[in-house]
Amino acid sequence: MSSKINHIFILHAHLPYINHINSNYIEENWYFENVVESYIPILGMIERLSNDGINPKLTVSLSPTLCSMMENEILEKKLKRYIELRLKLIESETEINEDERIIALLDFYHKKYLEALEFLNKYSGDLITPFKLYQNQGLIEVITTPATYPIIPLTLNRETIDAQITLASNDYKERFSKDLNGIFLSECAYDSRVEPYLKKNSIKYFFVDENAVDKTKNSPYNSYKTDNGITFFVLDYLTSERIFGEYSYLSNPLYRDFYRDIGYERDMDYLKKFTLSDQRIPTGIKYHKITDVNKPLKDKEVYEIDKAFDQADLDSKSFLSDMIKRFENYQGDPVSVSCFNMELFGHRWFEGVAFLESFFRNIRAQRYPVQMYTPSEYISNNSSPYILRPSISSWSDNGFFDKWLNDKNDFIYPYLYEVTRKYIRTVNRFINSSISADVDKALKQLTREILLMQSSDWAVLINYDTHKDYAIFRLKTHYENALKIINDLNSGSLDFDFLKRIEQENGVFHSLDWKSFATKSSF
Amino acid sequence: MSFNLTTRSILDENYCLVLPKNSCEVFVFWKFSDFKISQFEKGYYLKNIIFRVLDENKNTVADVPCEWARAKFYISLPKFVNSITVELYAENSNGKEKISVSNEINISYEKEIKKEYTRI
Repeated sequence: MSSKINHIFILHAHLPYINHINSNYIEENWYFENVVESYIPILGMIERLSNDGINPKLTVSLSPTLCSMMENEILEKKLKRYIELRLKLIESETEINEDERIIALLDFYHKKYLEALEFLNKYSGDLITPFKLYQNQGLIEVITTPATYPIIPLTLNRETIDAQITLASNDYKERFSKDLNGIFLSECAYDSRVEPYLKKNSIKYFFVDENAVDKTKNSPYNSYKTDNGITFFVLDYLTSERIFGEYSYLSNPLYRDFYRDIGYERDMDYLKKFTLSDQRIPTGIKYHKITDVNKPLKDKEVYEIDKAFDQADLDSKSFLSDMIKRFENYQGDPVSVSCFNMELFGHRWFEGVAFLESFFRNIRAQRYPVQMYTPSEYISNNSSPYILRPSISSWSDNGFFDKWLNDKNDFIYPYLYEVTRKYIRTVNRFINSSISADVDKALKQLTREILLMQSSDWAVLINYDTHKDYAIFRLKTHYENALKIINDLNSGSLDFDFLKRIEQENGVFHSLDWKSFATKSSF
Repeated sequence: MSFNLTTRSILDENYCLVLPKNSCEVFVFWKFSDFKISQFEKGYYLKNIIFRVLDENKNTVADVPCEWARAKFYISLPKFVNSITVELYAENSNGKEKISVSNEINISYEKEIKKEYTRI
């Protein structure tokens, strides 16, 4: 029987880089919603836990594209405007609603948005700073993902894998002022071709889905080393099943219903003033509880916040008890790795942050035999004696890549391959030449366009038909931008207005050095 | 512009590449140079090209015919293999001509026993 359970809890956050200068795309709201409903509440939770002497030892995975958005001044201004408009919407709703339960809820929302605004002001709008601060205080360990979140097994050139890992590592060092220890491979998609580049960048650990190990031979509750000496952890899918599965916490009738939102109910002329959109979009202002998952939205009952938050506390205790029960007969001390998208907590699951906070508090208050670890700390205390090569895999539904590669989205890969090859030819042409500052700038932007096109988000959005037009628009934009820069470079006539405009919009990775990509690998 | 796939390569090269979809199916796409396309169009080759699927030991797993102009194709693997490579052949009255050899990809079969495992 195990004496204690070693637990690593990962919150993984990624968004594709979305930054439009002169227009409001509704896709930008993904970032604003996640900041207000998840990132800031989670940061607030870490601060409260720390104030009470509880070290959560959370692992936080932040993709480089998301980090770039967190530091972007244009998005910072838009985020503040988003929060201010939501506050006005809440005030307007308070005037027109009479139900006391809804008024109490609106009061809660108002406080929540005000707190978000105060939090942003406290850190001058820069959300990287608190993550960095908490990491330096030993409360969390921040890791990252490949630069623009490509699916490594669907990446054709080894050189592209090199560039994506190396850029992520350099970007992390610059941003967090320390070496990168661990990486969360995009969608946990593993392919052994990535290992030399992890080793080259001194990355000490990564994570694989349970599909990557043959569990009839190897326990998913050990850490392992690859033959390159890099540690890997296996995600414990049973923990996520308690949250998402058939009888999961997420479907509790008391919890707030995610789908019923006043953005789909109020008059469009009324909403437009607050959403600045001609389309119906969620506002985050929701008044109803799940009630019964089988009930239509119109029959949902009014949400009662106190009851829901009490339930979150009960569920956190149940989560811990279940975990302990599962390992009752386990020989040795298991390491269980829970991993969730950060936006699940707060955004998708309104009570999720309360659940998390109770989870950390209850470990101490209830004296559960659970030892929280950051991966780096675990490795330094427990060197794995097991050497194993994981299988090619992802954390997708069936463990493979069908979501990113099927009849709907497979056109991406030939286009991506050819434009990347053209990029290689172009950088190789300039690598040993003396070039002007303008050409250097153009090559830098060209590299950005190629990297942004490699993001796996476009394939997912096309696969699910959600925001498909936007995904195709982005793919086309990056493809056409890249070809135009290549043609302009070849003809010796750069379009400076064009370059300035796309640099403003797609100015991710400020310190990107295209020369280092070319000399080492050229993709 | 639109993202309509054709076999014409903007690099003016002949190649085929393969990507893993799942343990039973791989995605192959191919491009031809302008010269090779003109050969197909003029009937120098038969309409169908052939994909020879090779396993990790370079044994032939399957020969799969496909129309040259399709630009992409999903190949169902007839058996579990650890890794595969695809060779692209064009055919005419003189016999088969190897046009291109793809990249090699790893495909594990271990996941197939996933559901049979009793945890702990």
